[in-house]
Amino acid sequence: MLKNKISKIFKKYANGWSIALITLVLLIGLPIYTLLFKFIDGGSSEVWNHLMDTVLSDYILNSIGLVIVVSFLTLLIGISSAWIVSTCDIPFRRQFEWILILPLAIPTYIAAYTYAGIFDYASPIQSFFRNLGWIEIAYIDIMNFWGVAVVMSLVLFPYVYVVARSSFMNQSSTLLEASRILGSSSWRTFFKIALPISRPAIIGGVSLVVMEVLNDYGAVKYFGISTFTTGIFRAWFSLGDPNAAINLSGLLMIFILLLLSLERWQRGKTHFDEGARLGRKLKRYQLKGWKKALAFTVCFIPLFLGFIAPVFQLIIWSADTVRRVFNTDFFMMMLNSFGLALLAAALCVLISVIILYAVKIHQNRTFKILAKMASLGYSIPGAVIAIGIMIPLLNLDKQLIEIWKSQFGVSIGLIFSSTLFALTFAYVVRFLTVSLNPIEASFKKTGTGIDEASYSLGAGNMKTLWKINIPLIRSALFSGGILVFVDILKELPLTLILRPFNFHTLATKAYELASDERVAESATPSLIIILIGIVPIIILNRLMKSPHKNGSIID
Amino acid sequence: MEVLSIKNLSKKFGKKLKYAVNDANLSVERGELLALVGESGSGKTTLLRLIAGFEEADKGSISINGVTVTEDNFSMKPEKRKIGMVFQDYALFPHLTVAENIKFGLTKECCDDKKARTKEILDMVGLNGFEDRYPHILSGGQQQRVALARALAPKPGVILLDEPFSNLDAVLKDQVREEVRNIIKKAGATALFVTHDMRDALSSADRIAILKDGKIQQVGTPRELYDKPVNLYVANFFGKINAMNATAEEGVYKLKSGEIKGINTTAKGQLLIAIRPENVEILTRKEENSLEAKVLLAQYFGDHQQVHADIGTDSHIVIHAHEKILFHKGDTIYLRFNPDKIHVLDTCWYPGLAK
Repeated sequence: MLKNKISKIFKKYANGWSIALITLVLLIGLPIYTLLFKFIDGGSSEVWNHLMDTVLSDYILNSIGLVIVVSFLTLLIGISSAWIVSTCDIPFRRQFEWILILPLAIPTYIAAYTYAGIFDYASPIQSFFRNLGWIEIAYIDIMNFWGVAVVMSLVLFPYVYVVARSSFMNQSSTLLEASRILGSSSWRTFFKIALPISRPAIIGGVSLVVMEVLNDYGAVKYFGISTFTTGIFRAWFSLGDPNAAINLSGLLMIFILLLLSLERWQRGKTHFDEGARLGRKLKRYQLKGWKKALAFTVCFIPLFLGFIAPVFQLIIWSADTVRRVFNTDFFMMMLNSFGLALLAAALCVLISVIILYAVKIHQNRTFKILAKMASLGYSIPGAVIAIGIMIPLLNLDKQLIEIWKSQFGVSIGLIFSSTLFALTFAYVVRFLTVSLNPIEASFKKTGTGIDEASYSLGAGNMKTLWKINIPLIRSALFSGGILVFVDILKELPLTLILRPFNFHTLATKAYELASDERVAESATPSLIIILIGIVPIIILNRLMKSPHKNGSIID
Repeated sequence: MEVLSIKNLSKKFGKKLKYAVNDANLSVERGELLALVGESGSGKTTLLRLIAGFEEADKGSISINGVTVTEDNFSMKPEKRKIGMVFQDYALFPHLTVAENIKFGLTKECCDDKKARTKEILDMVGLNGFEDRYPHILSGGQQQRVALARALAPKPGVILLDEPFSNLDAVLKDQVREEVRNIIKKAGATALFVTHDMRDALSSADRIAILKDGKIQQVGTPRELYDKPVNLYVANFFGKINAMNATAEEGVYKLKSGEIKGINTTAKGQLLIAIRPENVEILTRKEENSLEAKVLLAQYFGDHQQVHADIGTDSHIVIHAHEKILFHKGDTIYLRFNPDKIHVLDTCWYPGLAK
C-alpha cells in the first residue's frame, strides 16, 4: 500500500520540471541558507568582538534611526500628496498623478552626492546666501544623519505615494462619498475613513521604503553615517574579516525577516477585504484661493526637491564635463554594464518561467511555497546577498584550486568568486522577484483550462508552454525583463563587493567618480541611469494601478 | 409639506450632446416614499447625485426643507446638505463596527445622546445585538439595514437610496422591499430611491416618477401610472398595452375596422388610444359594440390565456382572457373594449409608433 502510494507520488512529481524547480530554488536560496547557518553557528573572531564592543551599537542605532525617520518623512510626503492628487482639484492634477512617481528613478546614492554638491560650500546656493550677508547662518550643513534621511526620503516617497493614491482612488471612492454625505469635513473623512482603510496598502508601500533604506550603501557612506551596510563593507574590505561580515549580514537579515513577518501579520490582521469597490469617479474637492495654492505647493515641493532640482543640477554638471567623461573607455564600460544587466535580466525571466510553469503544472502547495522562497531575495540588502554568495564560492574555488594543484601540479586562478559568474548569480538572487511577480500574474490570467485543452489535443508540457503560454504572457516577460534590467543598472552595493577587479558598471563608475571628489564628472553616468530608470516607472505605474489583476498566486 | 423641491434642473456631462438630466421638476412631500424609475442611462443616478451634491447642475434649483442647496452658480457641499444616502454597494466603513458606522454621522450629539440614538435606530432596523460586529460578517440584507440605519440616524431632511435592492438575490428581494419601506415609514423619513426595476417601485413606493432620456415622463401613484399613463413609454413599463390610432367624434372612437361606442370624451380628431389586455373582453358571438378579430396565437398560462388577435388593418391586440374556453389559431372571435378603460396617450413620444 504505502509502497504503492510512494511510487505514485514519485511518478507524478519526478519529472524535469519539478527537479528544475527544486534545484533552482535551492540554488537561489544558497546565500540565505549560508548566512543563516554560519550566523547560528556563531563564528566569532577578534574583529567581531571588537566591533560588538565599539561600533555595533552605532550601526544598529543609525540603521534603525534612518528607518524610522525616512519612514516618517516618506509617509508624510507620500500620503499628503496622494490625498491631494486623488481628492482635490489642483492645477495640472492629471500630470501630477504620474510625475510624482519620477523621483523613484533617482537612486539614493545619486541623490546623496547631488545634494551634497548642491549644498557644497562653493555651490551657487551657499554663495547666494553668503552674498546676502547671512554669514553666520549661511553654511547649511547637510552632511549628517538628518541630511541623509531627508535626501533619501525625497527620492523614496513615491513608494508610499503610489500605493496610497491607488488606494484612495480605487478602493474607497464610495466610502469617501458616504462619509461626506454623513456630514464629515475633508479632514475627518481623511483621518477616520481614508487613512484607516488604506493602512495595509500604505504599510506595504513603506515596507519597500524600509528595504531600500537598509539596502543603501552609497548615500550613507557618502554622508559619513555608519550603518549595517557600511559596517559589512568595512568588515569585508578594510578589516578583511569574513566572520564579522557574516555576523553583521546575518543580524541585518534576521532584522529584515522580522520586519517582513510583521508586515504580513498586519496584513492578515485586517478584518476587511481591500477588494476594489464600485469604481466611480470621485467628486473632487473644489479648492479656492490660498487653499488651492497650498495644495499645489504640497504636491510641487516633493516633485521639485525629489526630481527637478537634482536632475537640473546633474544636467549642469554633465554639460560641463560630458566631453571629458564620454570617451571610448566610458562607452565600453556602458556596453559592459548594459550587456551584464541584459544577461541577468534574461536569466531572471527564464528562471521565472521555469519556476512558475512547474508550479502551474503541478498545482501543489509545497511547490507554491518553494516558489515563494525563491522571491525572498528582493527584501534582502545587496551587500548581505553579496557576502552570502562570496563565502560558498570562495570555498568552492579554494577546493578546486587544491584539487587542480594535487592532480596537475599547476595553480589556477579563481573560477567562480570575483568573476562575472558570481555577480550574475547574485543579480538573479536579488532581482528574481522583480520578474517573478508580473510573470506570475500573467500566468494566473491564462488559467489552467487552456493547458488542459492543449493536453487533450495531444501536446506535452513543453509544447504547451512554448506554443500556448509563452505567446500569451509575452508582454509580461518583456516588462518583467525591463524591470530587472533597470534595477540591475542602478544596483550599487552588491556590485561593489562582487565585481571583478577593474570591472565597472554605470552605477559603480558614477559612485566612484563622486567619491573621488569628481562629482561633476559623475553626472553623465548618473543621468543615463536616471533616464533609463524612468522607463520601468511607467511600466510599474501601470502594474500598480490595477493591483488586483496582478496579485500573486503563490501568496 | 414639500420637503424636496427640484425646479428646471439640467445637467450635461462634458461635451456630450445629450442631457443626462433635462429640465427636471419634482416635488417630494414630507413622509413620502418616492421611486425614481428608469432604464440604465436614463439619468436617474445623475439626478440622485445632483441632489446629494456629488454633481453640480448646469441649470435649475434644488431645495431641501426650504433651504436652497443648488441654484445658478451655487452648490452647497454634500457634507452640509443634511441628506442621508444609502449607496448601491452600501459603502459601509469596513474598519468600523455596526455601532461605529451608525455613530459616524452623529457629530452634533454628545456621547450619551449618540448611544441612545444608536440603540433606538438599531431597534428600528431590528439589528439589536449586532453593535460590535463588523460589516463583512453580515448578510447582504443585514448590511443594507445597517446602511439604512446609518443614513437615518442623524435624522436627515431626506434620504436617498441608490438602487437599494439591486445587490440582493430574488428570494431576499421581496422581503427586503417590505422591510425597507416599513423602516423608512417608522422613522417618519422622507425618501427618494432610484431603481430600474418597476416591481421595486410598485411594492415599496407611494409615488413613482418615470425617467427617460433625462426627462421626467410622469409622476404619480402606481394606480395613476397604470391606469392613466401619459405616453406609450410609461404605459409599456407596466407590461403590455394595446395602442391604436383612432378618430374621435361625439361619444365614439372610430377605428379603421369599426367603432367603439359609449366613450365619455369631448376630444375631437386624430388620437392615439390605448387599453390594457385585461380590459378587453372576448366574445364568441357578434354582439353590440364588438369588433370581429382573428386569433393569431393563443398561449395558455393556467390562470389566464394570452390571446393575440388581428382586428384587421389597425393592429394586433393582446387580450388576457379568463374564460374557460380555449382559443386556437384561426378562430374568429369578437372583442369588446371597456369604454371606461380606454385612454388617450400623448403622441409626442415615440411618434413612429403612433401609426
